Amino acid sequence: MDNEGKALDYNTPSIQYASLNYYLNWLGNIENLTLQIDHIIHNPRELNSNWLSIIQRLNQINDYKSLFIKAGYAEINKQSITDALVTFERSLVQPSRFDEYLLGNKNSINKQEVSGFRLFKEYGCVSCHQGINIGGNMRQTFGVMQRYYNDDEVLKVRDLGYYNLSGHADDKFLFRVPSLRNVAQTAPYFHDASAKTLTKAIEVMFKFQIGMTPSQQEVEDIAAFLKTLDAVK
Amino acid sequence: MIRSRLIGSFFILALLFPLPILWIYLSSTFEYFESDIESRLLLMEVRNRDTELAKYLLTSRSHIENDFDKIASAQQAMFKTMRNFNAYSVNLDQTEANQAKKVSHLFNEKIEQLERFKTLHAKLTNSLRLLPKLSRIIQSKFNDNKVNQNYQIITLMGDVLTSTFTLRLFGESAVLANEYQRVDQLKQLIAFEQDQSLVTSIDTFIRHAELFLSLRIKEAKVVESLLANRLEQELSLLDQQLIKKHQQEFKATEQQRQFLIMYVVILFFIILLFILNRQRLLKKVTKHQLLSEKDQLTGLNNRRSFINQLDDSIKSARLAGHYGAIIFVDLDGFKAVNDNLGHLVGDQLLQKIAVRLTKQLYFDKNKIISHCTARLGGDEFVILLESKQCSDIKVLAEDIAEQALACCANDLGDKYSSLSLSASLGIAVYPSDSNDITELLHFADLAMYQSKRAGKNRWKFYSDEK
Repeated sequence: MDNEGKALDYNTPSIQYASLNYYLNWLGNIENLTLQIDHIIHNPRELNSNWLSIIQRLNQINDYKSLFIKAGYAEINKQSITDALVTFERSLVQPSRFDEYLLGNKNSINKQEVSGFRLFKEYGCVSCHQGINIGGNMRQTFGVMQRYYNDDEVLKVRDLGYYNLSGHADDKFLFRVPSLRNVAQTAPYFHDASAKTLTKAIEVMFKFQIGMTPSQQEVEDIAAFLKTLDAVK
Repeated sequence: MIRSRLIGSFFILALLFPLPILWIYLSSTFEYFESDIESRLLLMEVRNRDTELAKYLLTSRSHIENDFDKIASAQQAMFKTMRNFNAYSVNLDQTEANQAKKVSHLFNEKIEQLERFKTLHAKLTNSLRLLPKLSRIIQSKFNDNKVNQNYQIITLMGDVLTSTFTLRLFGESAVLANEYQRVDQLKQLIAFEQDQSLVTSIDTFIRHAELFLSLRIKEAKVVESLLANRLEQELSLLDQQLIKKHQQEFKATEQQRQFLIMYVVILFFIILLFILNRQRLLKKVTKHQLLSEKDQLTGLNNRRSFINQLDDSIKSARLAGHYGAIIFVDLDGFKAVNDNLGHLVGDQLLQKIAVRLTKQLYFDKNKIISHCTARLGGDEFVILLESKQCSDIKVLAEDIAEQALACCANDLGDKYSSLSLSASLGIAVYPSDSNDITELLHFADLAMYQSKRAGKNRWKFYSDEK
């Protein structure tokens, strides 16, 4: 939702593992968390604010003053606010059951989840959802085997993806591959939030990225595997 | 004391003058090297990042390392380096700045191409993973009725698989041509197939194989342009330009530095010359001073310096309320010495008496504040006394006059035994007699003549004779 209560263009991603991403946002247009904070604060459709007013507001609240000093910052300014927020976001990273499995604890995920992992590899999902954050380090076309949007459908600007920034014809429908950590907790899915459930999202990925229809069993297995990526509480 | 301090301060000056200039010289040299090293380090960093990216690109492409986290972190480092580079290039001159812009542009292009590579490579990997999976699915769907056709399909798919991997590894064009042929054959074969699910699966297989083939070429192009390394060329060009510029700068500043050094050296020598000359002049001045103040024969003060001293003395006496006396000493019978024994002996006698007048006279330090003996010329000597007490001055003058008489008459030596030598003394007292130098000297002279007239070898006060 934007500051007037209307839906934003893009489905807002979770911040829990944002610090592990190579670049941020659906287009991958922001390099790091510091820049992202700056971007969000100035974006007219998000916070629509500026540092001066934020610093003034924080200074008016005595609790914040003492908290900033306790945290080791000399004063409330752009640097200290950004640093505090980035440090907070970095502290949110937690291991999942799947991480334990990869570290050698074979009992941390069950048989169905293992077979889901196998399917995840066999169907080539890993070629994009890869690396420490299981995604978030590259851009990929949304709709490799067939177009996600019908020809007669009127395209929204945001659906052109990275093309909006680069202007390169090859970059149409190119989006940053999202991280799959905590995926079961972060419905709805895709940049336009078009998939409301995890199963639906898996089916869409099969249809448009791989070009085939999965069996019910396969979808369930993969969904079970994806649930092992949730942060251990 | 004062002279040595002056010389010391001059030396310090001589050292201090060139020091700041030397400092400027050295710091400008260091600054030059610093900026040179900074630019080189930066270019080296850009090169290193570039090489790093090429390394990750090749390892990814040959499936040695198949996740892009390393590429991503290398890209991130590259962004940082590029930001430093852009900040640096702002301060460059026009030509170099343009070249730097080119490098920066190529750098960004490279990062964009890497993005493209990642996208393409992931698609290729996806197809590579999927093709064997699809072939297994298709095999499981075959029924035993059409063994012959199925066999053909399986063989073809096997071939396609083998050659995709071959292509992946070697990328030969011959293999590629055969690959298209096989895919076409597969298409023809499934045209007669009735089992719809089987057709869909094989169709997917074919589409993936085709996708793989078409993307392979695209990827090859991207990799080719990434490895063509135009960045390296432009970077080398920039490097050359910078080195050239730095050389020119160094040469230009070197001339200035040479002038500086020359200036410092010349300055140093001038200061040294000044010091030496000053020393020489000081020596001369002291020598002249001595010559002008002392009597050459006896080493006593001469008439001029005595008059100066008397002047000072009278002035200070007037201010402080002191009293003073001048005792005029004239040798009796000195002309006879010169006439009978020669001028040399006469001079010796004068020297002897001068020594006696300086060394043998006893001045009571408690009463006499200052005293001085001088030779006025010929056989005339004069003694100056100064005292605080009015009553003392006459007594003291009498005492000194008595001693001076003894100096001039007693035990002068065998040479002079044949001649009767003595002295006649006249004493004038100030301020009671006069406060004027000429008058005082005149009065003392008059008193001395009174002594001579009274029979020599005695002393008289001017005040008594008036």
